[in-house]
Amino acid sequence: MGQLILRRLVFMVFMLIGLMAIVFAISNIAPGDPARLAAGPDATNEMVEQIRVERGLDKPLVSRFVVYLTNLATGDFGTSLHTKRAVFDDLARYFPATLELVVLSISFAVLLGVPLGMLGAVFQNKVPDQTIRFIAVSGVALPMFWLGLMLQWYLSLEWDLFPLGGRLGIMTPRPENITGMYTVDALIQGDFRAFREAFWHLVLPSLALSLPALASIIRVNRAEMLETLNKDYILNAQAQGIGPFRVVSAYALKNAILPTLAIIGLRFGWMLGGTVLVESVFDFPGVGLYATKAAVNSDFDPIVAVTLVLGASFMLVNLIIDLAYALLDPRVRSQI
Amino acid sequence: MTPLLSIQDLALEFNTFDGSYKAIDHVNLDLMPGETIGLVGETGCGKSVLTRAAFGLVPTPPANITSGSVKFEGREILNLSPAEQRAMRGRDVAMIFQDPMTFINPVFKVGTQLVDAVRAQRRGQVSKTEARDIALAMLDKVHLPNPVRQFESYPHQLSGGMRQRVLIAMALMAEPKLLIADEPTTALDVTIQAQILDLIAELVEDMGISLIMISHDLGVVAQNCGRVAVMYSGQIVEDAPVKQIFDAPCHPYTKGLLGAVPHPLHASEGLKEIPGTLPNLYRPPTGCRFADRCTHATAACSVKRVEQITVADDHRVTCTLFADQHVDA
Repeated sequence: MGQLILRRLVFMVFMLIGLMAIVFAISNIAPGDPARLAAGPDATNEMVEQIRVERGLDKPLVSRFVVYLTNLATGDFGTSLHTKRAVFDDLARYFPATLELVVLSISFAVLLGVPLGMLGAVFQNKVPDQTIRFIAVSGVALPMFWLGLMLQWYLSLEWDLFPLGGRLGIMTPRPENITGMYTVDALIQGDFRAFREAFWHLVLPSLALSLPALASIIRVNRAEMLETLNKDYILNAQAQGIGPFRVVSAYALKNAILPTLAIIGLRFGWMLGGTVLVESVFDFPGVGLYATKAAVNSDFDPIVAVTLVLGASFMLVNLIIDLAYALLDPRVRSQI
Repeated sequence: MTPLLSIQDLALEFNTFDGSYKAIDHVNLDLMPGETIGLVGETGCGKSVLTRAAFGLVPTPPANITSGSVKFEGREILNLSPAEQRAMRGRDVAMIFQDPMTFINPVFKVGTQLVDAVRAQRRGQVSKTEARDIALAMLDKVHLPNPVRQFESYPHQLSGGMRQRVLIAMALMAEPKLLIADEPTTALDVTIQAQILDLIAELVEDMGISLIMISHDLGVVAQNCGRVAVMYSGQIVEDAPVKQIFDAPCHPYTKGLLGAVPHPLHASEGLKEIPGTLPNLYRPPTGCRFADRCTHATAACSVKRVEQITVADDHRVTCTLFADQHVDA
């Protein structure tokens, strides 16, 4: 098992370098002269050339890529033009916020999606199944940003149940920075008021972000449960007189959850991409919003860095999913 | 003496998109305590559905039991609640199935499944440790080598024969009164088949269990059963002591089945097949369901439902050819 994890982590490094190469190439092919942008609108041609040489922009693409990778290895992600800070510091500030949001969203989608899919299968084509199907189809059909706007309009502006956006109220003191995730930091320090408020700010964006994932988890898990409930070993369990709750929630679910896991991993990736939309709608200061602002300002270093961080998160989550497979399925475990 | 199991006039149909499929057609079957009966017939004739439906293991819908009664030790069981039926299964009636590869859950340890079964069979009256002891003792009884180690194994680490032993152990741990063995050896290779059949025979005798052995292999039935019921298209067409079936078969279908068994000494003669195909059970014939394929069929066969006729002591046939040979048993 340890060997598998190590092998996969090494492989991940190579995948990240590949990802970097693609993003680096695209951002350099894109129109716009980074040296002129950096120099500002009033710079003379000599000044632009000077900056070009200073930043190594006159060198060939490949050698610039090697320099970029070496810098990355030392934690230098470049400098953001629009925040005027090191990209590394920006990421340290914004990534925990996104992490908080995405973890809450995926947990919500899984913890609700799996049982709902199960219920749908048990009550196939009856009222509970129909109701759940309605939720699932809406979840797939509604665009995230529109859903976000509707949630803001009704739950925040009309009924005033949740804050409109941001991570904390303006007047609330920030919990001391430990992990950067306000909810976690507040809990560590025992500040339940700050925890409650940070959590309250997360609810609406998480809802908007998780609904598409929730919908597909429900659909896949329902279909898998239906198939599993028809298996011979379920009949055998019933013939032994084992009760329906144990049959459904253990004997069937542990088999049905395996294909659902694949969807969870995939959906996590979509969710990371979705933060760009949701964070913009809710003015939530995470990497999604950061990347949007960077893109608007032709600010390439942050874009590349955000891509790297999100890519790495996606790969890590899929590694976790693969380990979960091994944990749940002894046949997979015996192959590693 | 009250029969252990008495199925009377049981009819069942499946409501499907194409109409209702009349899978079981007014079947009668009695089983005395300690009796072993073989239920034979070709694939799709309703052998498995009959035994499963009797104990609430056929989901309704799509199935629908349209008439009949099933009594176990004199008690009607068709109208029991699902929970009461569940309480009977495992404890009073045990089942082993065809394919040990698919009837055992791949993601739970053998031991976990056995312990779950013991606790379900004994309605939670035993602790986990007691359940483990019962299960281990039973694994020993089914001659599974190294029971303690297999207890911690997953099903994929066991061979087909070992898995079938585990499933037999699982079924018989509760010391049931009736065992339904649904083609228990079909999926195993021949040498293992013999071992498993011997094991079932040994346990059935030791524990004094009644047995319904479902099979399409007449040889298996001849060896293990005292009585044979031949099924065709959802009906029991002949029901007699095993010697009677082999020595003096009455129903043309039974004769056809026996003719299709290869003879060890005259293999060159080839096998006699039964001409024709199974009737369409969405629209079953009004008369005899075998009439279309029967060489002895007369006009009378297709007119109306053929009733069961007792031709000799404990020998019943559903065929018009014997209408005048009726004896009162």
